[in-house]
Amino acid sequence: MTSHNESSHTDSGHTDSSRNEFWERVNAALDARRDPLEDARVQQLLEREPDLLDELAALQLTLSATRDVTHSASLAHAPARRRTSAFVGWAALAAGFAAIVVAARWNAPEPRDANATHPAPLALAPLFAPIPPGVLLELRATFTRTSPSGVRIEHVDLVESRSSVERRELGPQGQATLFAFAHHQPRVRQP
Amino acid sequence: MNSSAQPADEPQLALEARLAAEAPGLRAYLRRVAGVGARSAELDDLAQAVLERALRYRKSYDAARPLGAWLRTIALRVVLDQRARGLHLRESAGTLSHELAAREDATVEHRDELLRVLAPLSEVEREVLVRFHGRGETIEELAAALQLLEGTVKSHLHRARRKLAERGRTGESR
Repeated sequence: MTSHNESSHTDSGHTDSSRNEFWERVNAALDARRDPLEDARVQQLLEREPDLLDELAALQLTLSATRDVTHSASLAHAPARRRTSAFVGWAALAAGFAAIVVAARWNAPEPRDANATHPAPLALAPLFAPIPPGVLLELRATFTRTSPSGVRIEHVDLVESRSSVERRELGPQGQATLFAFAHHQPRVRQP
Repeated sequence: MNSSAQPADEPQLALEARLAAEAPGLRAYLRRVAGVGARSAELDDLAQAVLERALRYRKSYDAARPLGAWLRTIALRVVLDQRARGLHLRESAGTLSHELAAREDATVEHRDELLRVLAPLSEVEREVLVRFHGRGETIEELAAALQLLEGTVKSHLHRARRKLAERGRTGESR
């Protein structure tokens, strides 16, 4: 066996041993996620066998495309997953809030004197006061009940601690003949 | 004029002077690497590209290393890029890569195109290659996930790379 420098040449002019050594070192570098071109021995082998650059270029192109496609595919799917899970989370949170507020409201005793429960007028916030980021401005649950006489729609505002009721009564032809709207604040605000 | 240069400019001027001194050796190296058939103008362009890249990335130069070795690494990258542009693969994987870099979305067509490029690989070679280079999984993780020895995973990975590199040797594109 002669030394690898003078061993038998392939048709393309490469020595088998040089080629094998080259790819061993390139693979070792790629396995370790290093740049093979920084390996001094790889540089020597490329200088001796420049055609190996074509092979390395072909490999680099395909690996780059593999990385891009995989990365882009994960980018394309990740937001959808995040949006779905975020939506489910917020829906569950809103449903939980609504259940708690409605249960508390229905279990609370009715005030005897409506005037006594009215809170003192609240100072209005400045109209153009900046709203801090992340503040929940509105969260409302709506309950609709139907009956032979009409439809009752109740809105419970979970942020402002108030509720409103719409009642629509139907006439003989099924058309709305009476519209009633009520708004009240059943809970006393704490000072 | 040189006496008016600020001290902060001295390292850059020193590097530029050293690069200029390395230029003839760099040109000879490029002639060997790029092939004896490379024309003079082409060699000049390559040398210019190498020096430009060296100046652009001068902060990455480790002064403890020989400047010539650092330049040779850059030279190989420049020639590699040039070869890549010249390959017929540009019509498949190369175009694919550039389009995706610009659009950052992977359509079904792009994935199909990549699958076509990876078609010479066996199923396990393809999976190992995509998971290692595409998803960044380690050899150990792949061995555990596929219930293979780490050496076997490496063998599949190395064989896959060699098969893909063969396309460059033959100039094959389709």
